Amino acid sequence: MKPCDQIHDQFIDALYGDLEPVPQQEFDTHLSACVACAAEFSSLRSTLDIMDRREAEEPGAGFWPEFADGVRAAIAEGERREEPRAPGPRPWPVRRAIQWRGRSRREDRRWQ
Amino acid sequence: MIGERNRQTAEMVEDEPLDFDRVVDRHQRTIFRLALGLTGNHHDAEDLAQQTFLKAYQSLNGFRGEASLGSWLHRIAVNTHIDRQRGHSEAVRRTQRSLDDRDNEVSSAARLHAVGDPEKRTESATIQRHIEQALQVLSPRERAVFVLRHYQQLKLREIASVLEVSEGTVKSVLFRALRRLRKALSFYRPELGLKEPS
Repeated sequence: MKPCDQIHDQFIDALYGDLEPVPQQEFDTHLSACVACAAEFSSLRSTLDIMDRREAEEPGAGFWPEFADGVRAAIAEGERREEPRAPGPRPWPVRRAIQWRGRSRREDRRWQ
Repeated sequence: MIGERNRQTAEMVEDEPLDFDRVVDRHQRTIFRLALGLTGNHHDAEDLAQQTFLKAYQSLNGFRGEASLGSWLHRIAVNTHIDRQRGHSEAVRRTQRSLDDRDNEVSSAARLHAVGDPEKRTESATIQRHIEQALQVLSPRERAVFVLRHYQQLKLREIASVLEVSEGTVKSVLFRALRRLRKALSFYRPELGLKEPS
């Protein structure tokens, strides 16, 4: 019989019905002989059963055109922001430090 | 049409303009459902879903078609949600959770006006609240993995592709999420087969 830790590794596959027939049989055999693993598996199964009761309300038909409009608006806004800036002198001065004969000196400089 | 860009995708014919309107129309319900599972309320789900499509549109140049468009959209949605959650402090998340609880109470109350047995409606609303509270216990990543497997019904290898991790990691995160959900729902002890505390 497989050890318990190997069975635990198969819990997720077993819970979602993803075990192949032979491993499934080995899994079932282990659970029928191991009370602890059987209890652990059963409680995880019951947890999923509770989570299955979640009711996700779908929006009504009128929601989707507005949703698509919202996507369009966001895209249009994004494209508007990406439009290239008109050419011309930059409005802000650019400062740079200039080393001049061992002394540092700051000088404003505007773009040509 | 929402913009046209010449892109090759697994779902489009080579060199045909990509009709993004069609992409939104085809995937909006799935992505909204995913966003609802991740966020727990309609308002945030709508915002997350719209952001997902916006980001997809903006990063079309980076989509090379290795995964399906659907998987790619799932990845954007999950990553956007996780990034947002990462930016929030625990205090903000706690405040958000209590606001979400209020939202859920309101929508649960609205359902109470539906036709049906009042006692059953109350029980149903209570279970919905407990389920959402249990999901809020999970980390954003754990919640994403659980929602993708359990509600979106993606296979483990698909989730691994969405999250760009190994299947083993997905399984490990999912197992951890499940155990935390069990603990959060432990007051359903008879159903969970748990022993009463001594």
